[in-house]
Amino acid sequence: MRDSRKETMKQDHQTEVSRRSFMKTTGIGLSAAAIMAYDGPRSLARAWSLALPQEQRPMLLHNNENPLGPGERVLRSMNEALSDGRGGRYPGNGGLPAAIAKAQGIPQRNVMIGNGSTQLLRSATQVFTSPTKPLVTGAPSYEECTQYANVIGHPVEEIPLDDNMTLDLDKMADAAQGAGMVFLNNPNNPTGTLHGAEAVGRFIERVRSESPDTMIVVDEAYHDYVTDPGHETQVQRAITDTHVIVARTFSKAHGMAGMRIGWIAAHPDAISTMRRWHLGLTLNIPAMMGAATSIADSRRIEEEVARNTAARAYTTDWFKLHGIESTDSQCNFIFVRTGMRAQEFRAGCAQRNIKVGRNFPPYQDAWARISISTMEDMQFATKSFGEVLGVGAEAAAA
Amino acid sequence: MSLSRRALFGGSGALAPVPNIALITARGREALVDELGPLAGENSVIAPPQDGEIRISSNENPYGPTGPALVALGEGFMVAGRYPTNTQPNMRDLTEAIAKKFDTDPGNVVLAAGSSELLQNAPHAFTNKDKHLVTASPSYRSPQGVAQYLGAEVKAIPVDGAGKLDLDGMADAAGGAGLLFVCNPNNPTSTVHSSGEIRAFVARVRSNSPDAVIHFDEAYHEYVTDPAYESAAELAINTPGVFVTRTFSKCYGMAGIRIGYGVGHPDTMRTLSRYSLTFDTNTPGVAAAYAALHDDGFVPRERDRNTAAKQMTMNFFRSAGFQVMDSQTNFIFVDIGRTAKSFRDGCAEHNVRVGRDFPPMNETHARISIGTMEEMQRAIPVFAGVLGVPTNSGGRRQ
Repeated sequence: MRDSRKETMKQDHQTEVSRRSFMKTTGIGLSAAAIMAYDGPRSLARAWSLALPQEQRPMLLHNNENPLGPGERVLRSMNEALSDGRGGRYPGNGGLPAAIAKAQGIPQRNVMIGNGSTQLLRSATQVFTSPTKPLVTGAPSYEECTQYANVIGHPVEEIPLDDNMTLDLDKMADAAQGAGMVFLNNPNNPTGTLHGAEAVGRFIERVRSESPDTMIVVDEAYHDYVTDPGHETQVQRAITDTHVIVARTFSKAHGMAGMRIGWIAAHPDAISTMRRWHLGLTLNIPAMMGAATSIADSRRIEEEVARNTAARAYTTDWFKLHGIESTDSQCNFIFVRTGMRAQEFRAGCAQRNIKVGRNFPPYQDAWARISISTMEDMQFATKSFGEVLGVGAEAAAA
Repeated sequence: MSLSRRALFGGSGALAPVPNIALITARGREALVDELGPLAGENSVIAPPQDGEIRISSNENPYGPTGPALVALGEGFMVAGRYPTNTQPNMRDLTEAIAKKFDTDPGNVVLAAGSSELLQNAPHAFTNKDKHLVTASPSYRSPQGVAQYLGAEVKAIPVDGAGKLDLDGMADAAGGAGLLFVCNPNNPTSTVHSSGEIRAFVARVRSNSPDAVIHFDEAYHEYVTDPAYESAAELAINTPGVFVTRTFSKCYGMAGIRIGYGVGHPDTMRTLSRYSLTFDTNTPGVAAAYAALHDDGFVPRERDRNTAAKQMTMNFFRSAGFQVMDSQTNFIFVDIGRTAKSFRDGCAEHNVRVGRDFPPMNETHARISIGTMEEMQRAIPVFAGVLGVPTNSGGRRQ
């Protein structure tokens, strides 16, 4: 195993070297000599590179990132965005809405982009909820809308998960009566669980008929990672229905969390309502040009999904082998019943230079969210999990 | 919406709605946001300058990011799969570096996706239906749009004959205000107030409207050469309810990268930061800004470059008998004795793009950004031709 890890490290290192030489030769307007002479904060790419042995870098399993980052073609587009001093110009949209529309087979008027899907989720919360029209969401679920509603003083109704630890769609639909907006994270963060197309369709129909003014926001941040055949995106529904919005992001499978780009598919009426509020000038030009390349690169997403699925299966199997259950995650993270307080588990992992997920009330007493990195990383990390949880010593020694 | 459609699709409504790319290109992103309101969103296509085009319309650094900042961007792209908290230098590192630059604590600093994020968040945090915004006319209009959306009254105090902000008039209007927006140096008039005038202004506002927050936008700080000027940052750090914004979009050449920050009293910063987008800054941008801050000698070099090209341009206008305001920025505001539109259209015919209308001074004044020396040498004969004067100084033809 140690040999195979070394082999991977060597491959990673070669990739790193080729990336660096690639950077020097692309038209970013700097001579190779100038780059070599520069002695600034050079640690950036190196210190966080997967090429380093696991012992020498923090393992980041706490923010559901794609550890490989953007692909070569995306890197090339981002570097091109800087050529000829263009990084100094105020950005347009880099052709991104058109590229999204093309990749999705939907009209461009149904697409709006933002600073991560988070900015779009905030804008939706701003314009569709009010002091008298609450936000309805699951608990636990992705917290962005809830936190923003708290900032602007709009009420929030949180519906606990059902007995299967999935979003309680019936109770959420009940609560949606008269609400400004209902937030449906599918698959749901932090549980990773999914509602299939039929269940989501029934939920939308019910809310639309019983509370026609309520905006339904379906956050499909982890859509690309889903392997359950019952899943279907709600994008097509969103472009024809004035009260359904689908949110997506480049932060997960596309490996661009640090670039801050997300988008929504929605009816033009919903988009125009959001635009009246939505703050402009928050998106950077390399991000938009890189994302436009990424969304057309379906092969890279397929590879990333295959990588994640295998590493995720390995990790859940490891826990299962030691009698520890997980939810049925369809994402690039798993939600595990460690039986230990999340804070304690986090601290134990941190001592071993591994970061794992935050508290997710009311499950913080026995559950942990762990993001999935590479297979090599997860094989390394599970040994540490075993030490922290006091299981799997034999497996580690073998 | 109608304003936006008119500007994007051109004036004659009878024609098919083909986006008027030339118009948008001519004016640049900054113009779009200012003219269509700060909430225009990322809904525009802006092509980079075309072959031979001289774009001196949006107060950008024509060279874009250079040196260490450019290298950091390239390295940052490689780790762009990580959120900006999860790399090095990260948001925390940049915050600390900025705090150090101001000899203060990280709690006195808030990062942003360009200072524009803070220009928009401040009215959200500090104005409402009962607490108005005080600004100037003409001045940068972004805060005004947000205040209007929120139903806050806007009191825009005209600048004086020399294009300087009427600080007395603004202080008079401060009673019961939520926020005063003071752009120093002011865009588009390019003039600056001395540190003595700024201190007296703050004292006066503090005494007659103790709850009003004062926002000094110092986007052009690095370009100022007037020795009487001093940043309000130190004052802000020590005075509750006063804060300063800065940006990497101007002197640092990173308008397309979207990094800015605010500096002030920790209480003010805490309130402002509640409105900050989650992960507003991007990973490569954070690294680039960090590198730029540590690039000793860069700012004076860029300031000198700008001053020389600006001086040559001002010499041309002044020797041709046109009044130019005392520019402390990377643009000039010239009394051309005719409408800005006629001048702009005339220059556009020769592929030179100058600034938009700044009502109410659009009947007589044009704003011209300072490009490279070579660009200004090529632009001056165009200015001369459009204005019907000889190219009698500075504009050496090559």
